[in-house]
Parts: sequence; structure tokens; C-alpha cells
Amino acid sequence: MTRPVIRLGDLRNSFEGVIPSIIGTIDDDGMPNISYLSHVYYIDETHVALSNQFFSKTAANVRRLGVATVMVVDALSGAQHLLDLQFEQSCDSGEVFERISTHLDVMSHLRGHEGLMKLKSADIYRVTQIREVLAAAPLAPPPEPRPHRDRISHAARIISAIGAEADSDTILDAALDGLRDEMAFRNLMVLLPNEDETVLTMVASRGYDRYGTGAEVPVGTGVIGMTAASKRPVLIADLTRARRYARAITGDTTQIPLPGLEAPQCQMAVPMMAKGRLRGVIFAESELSFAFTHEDEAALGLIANQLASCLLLADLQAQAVQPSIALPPAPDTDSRRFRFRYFLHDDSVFIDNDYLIRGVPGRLLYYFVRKFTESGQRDFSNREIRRDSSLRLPDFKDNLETRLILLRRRLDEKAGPLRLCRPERGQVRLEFDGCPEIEVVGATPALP
Amino acid sequence: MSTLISSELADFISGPVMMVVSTRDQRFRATIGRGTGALYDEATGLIDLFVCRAQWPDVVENAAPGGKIAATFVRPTDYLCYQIKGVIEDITPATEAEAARGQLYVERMLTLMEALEVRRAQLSHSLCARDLMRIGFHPSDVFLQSPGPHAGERLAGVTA
Repeated sequence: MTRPVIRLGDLRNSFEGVIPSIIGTIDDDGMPNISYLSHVYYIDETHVALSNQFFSKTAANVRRLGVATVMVVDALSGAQHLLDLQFEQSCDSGEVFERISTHLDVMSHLRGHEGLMKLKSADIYRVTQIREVLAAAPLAPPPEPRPHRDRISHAARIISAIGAEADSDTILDAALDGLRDEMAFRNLMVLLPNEDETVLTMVASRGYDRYGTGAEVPVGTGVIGMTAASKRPVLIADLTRARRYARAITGDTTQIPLPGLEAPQCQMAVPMMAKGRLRGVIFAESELSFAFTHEDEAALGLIANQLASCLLLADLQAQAVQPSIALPPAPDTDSRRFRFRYFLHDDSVFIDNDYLIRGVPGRLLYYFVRKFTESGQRDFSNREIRRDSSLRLPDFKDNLETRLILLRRRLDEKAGPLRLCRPERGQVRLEFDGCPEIEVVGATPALP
Repeated sequence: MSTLISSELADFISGPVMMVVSTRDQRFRATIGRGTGALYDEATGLIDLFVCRAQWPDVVENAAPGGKIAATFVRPTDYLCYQIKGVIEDITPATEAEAARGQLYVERMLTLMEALEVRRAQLSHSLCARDLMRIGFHPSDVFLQSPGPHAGERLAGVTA
């Protein structure tokens, strides 16, 4: 019986670095040299890239003869394959280099080896032969083959559902519900960058015991933060031996804990890009190793960029809307009073003694509450907000809608005396259960 | 005890460490296979390395006396790793006692690796005690191969 031809794409589970790969070369004297490799990277059906980190003898041998043998191991089945490689080129910049460098940085972080796995160069090889190592006495039965999942069709349906929505809120929900229902991603979240792209804030999630709206992740930290910093997708197929993802839990009372699984085994994050800028990150995790594949990563990338574009478009459209305001009934100012504290140094807001939010959403909320106490105004249009110079919005005008979503969802989750509602597109309305007593901490704010 | 193979190194390679072995084929390419136990004989100065012929035919077919060989030995608990290179003295089928030793090696490695959360299925094709061949070789060089900036550092050698 003829054995099926092995495609490089069939070996993707062997390229995740869960079980180290091995490279063998020959030196001038005909002496073999073998070394462990942290990762072999799939480039296309005929090429792989190797991370050139420490193995100078291997590099010297490859320079001389131009060939190497690599053995890769499937981390699910234990199957081993030998690849005959022909060296083509070395690169220390460019897309392949950056992708590998990002992945190594993430793996170093997860394994607690920061800086140890720094990439020097990525070496590109043509694969001239693939041979399966036939097990003489396998120690375990082969795993059940996984059912085929048509990710292109799933992505197409989710992209259509996102495109059918006009409002930022429902766009976000369409994306998350689609990922949960169509692609069976059980635990996922969307995070958005702040104005200077130093912090990501969680705006929506699915599958956790709490929403965690407003939780922050520093850009450059963990799978999510490194995805934002590099603007490249990150897939960690098996976290069994990795240090658990560092969550944003500190003693700081202004930190909202990021929701997350207790023992994630597989994590994936993709950047949301539109108009050449990072608009957010979609993150998914699972308690099962190898829950996500590279097809999932590619599909999620399509959805993430559609989400970014649609949120941007919705924001621009909301700018153009002329509000037709029907005055709402005035709040009952005789009801209970609550303390509204605003800290100028980081725009954080506390209601009574509870931290609510900070950054731009905090600044927006202070603006709304102050306007109300000054003039009784409770309805605000996006256009009016954008034009108010006291809010210092010029550098991130196209993010206003998502900041408002974040603020509204955080207020809803907190279930306190303040809420924001959306009477119509491009407009927000402040609602109260009680009367705010504003305290500004830090300095006298400049009144518009 | 040889100055090349210290008693500590001899103990190390005969202990529960993962082994990879390489010879050179006719095309001047490295073959790759896995070892199923090793030991150092102080009297002969030989390292005996056991390899499953059925699973690693390329390694075994190219392991002729006078040929060159390299093997790495890595401790899974801390990744301490040595590479030992040398010249093959002889190659013979494993004796009954050597085969039993190979089986014991597989069982010890399974216990150790499972404690490190490496699943049996992941090792299913890596550890094999069937159809073992003994490759005896004279060590000529020892290198530290643990991950990090000192990887590849030569520790001892009989040549300059």
C-alpha cells in the first residue's frame, strides 16, 4: 500500500515547541553535531524557518555544507518526522523574523526566561524531503483524529453578522457571540488600547464568571500585551509547562482583575488592525491543549480586522449624527446623595469609596457629571463631546464610541447610582439614582 | 577514571536522561535517532549507547566501526545537557541483560517524564526498548549543551 504523501502543513502540531525539535549537521571532519531547537516555524508548504539563537557550531556547519536534518515531534500523538533541509537565507529583520521574535519573546515570558531566548536571526530552509519515523513499539494508541472544522465558512458568517450591525455595541456583541456560537470559542474577550497605546482595557467578554469590564493589561506584558506591542497574532498551543499567564491582579485598589481561566492550556490573541493602527486585541483561551489551530488563528485575524474596521466606521458615523433631543425627566435630587471623586492625575473616578474607572472613560464621566451639576444637562452628543477642548480628545477622536461603550458597560456592571444609556446613535444620556457630590482631587480643573 | 569522562558525567549519562544520537550517511547528511540508555565502561574507555534498529535504521546502518558519532544527554528536570562526540569502536545486537537494561531505562524515563506533565502519548514514539543495538564508541570531545549563552562550550577533548 502506498503511504500518503506528507505535507508540511500536516505537521503544524510538531512546530509548536512543546517537545523540542532536534537539528543535526556535519562538520569539516565529517563529525555529526546535534542540538535542540526551541522552535521550527512553518513558512509555506516547502519552507521552514529555524530560530538561530545559541548553536554556533550548527550555524558554521550549515554555512559550509548548506544542509541540515531536523526531527520534529507532534506534541499530541508523539509522531516523529525527519526533514531534510537545504539552507536558503538568513534574515535579521522582516516579517518572518518579527513573527518568530515575537513568539520567542512570549515563550520566554511564559517560561520565566526573559531575555534568554533572544533571537539573533531566522534561517530559512527549503524542505527537500519529509520522512515519517515509524514507531517500532508505540507506547500509546494514536489519538482520535479531530473533526474537520470549516473555519472559512465560520469566519464568513461572523464577518457578515458584524457587517450587518451599525452600532458599536451591537458590533462588539455580534463578534463575540459569533466566535462563541459559530467557532465554539468558550472563553474570550476584546480589549482596546488607551490613547498612547501603553495599556489595553477590557471592553467585552464571554465565558467567564464575571465580565471584568475595565480591567487593564499593560502593552508588552503577557500574551495579550505582547500581541498589542508586536501587532502580530500569538498562538500558544500548549501551556502545560509554561508559567501561567500573569494576570492584572495586584494590591492596587484601582485594578479591576482581568477575568481568566484558572488553568489555561491554550491561548491565542490577535491584533485588531484598521487604517494601519492597532484598534484592539481579541483574546481566546481554553483549558484544552491544542484547542486552537493555526486555521483558527487565521480566521480570528479576519474577524478581528473586520471588527476593527466596523467599530471605526460606526464611530465616524456617530460623529455625523445630529441629535434630536427630547428632554428626559429631571432626576430626583431629593434622593440619596453619593460621593463622586475625580482624580486629576490619572482621570480615575471613585463612587463613594469604590473605584470605577480611569483614563479617558473616567474623564468623560467627570465631564458628564460636572455638566449636569452646572446646568442640569444630561444628554450629550458625540459631536459635542468631540468639540469640547477640556476633554483633550484630539489624538484619539476615532475611539470615542468604544470609550463610551467601555464606560457604559462598566457602569452597568458596577450597578451603582450612575448609568449611561443610548437614546439614539451618536448620543448618550446620563441617568442617576441619587444626587452626585463632586470632589476633584489634585488641582483645580480648568473649566471650559 | 578518564579525564574526558568524569565519574559525575559517567553517572549522568547512565541515569534517567533523554538521549539523541547522530551518525553521518552517504550523502554527508546527519542521521538522527534516539538512544535507549547508555553507560560508560571505565576499563575499555567506551561509551555503550543503545539504539532501536527497527525505529532508527539510518542511524544504525551508518554506525560502522571507525565512523563518527555524536550523542546528547539531557536531564529533563533542569535541561542540563552534554554532547559527547567520538569514534565508533563496534556495533553489536544487545545482549539479554542489555535489553533488560534498556527496558528499565524506558520505564524510568516514563515515570520521570509523566511527573513533569509530559503525557505518555507524547513519548509514544520516542522511547523504544525493542530490537536494541549496542553502539560502542570512544569519546573524543565533551561539550556543555544546556540552553543559554554557554551552549556549545567545549569541556574536554583528546584533540586540541
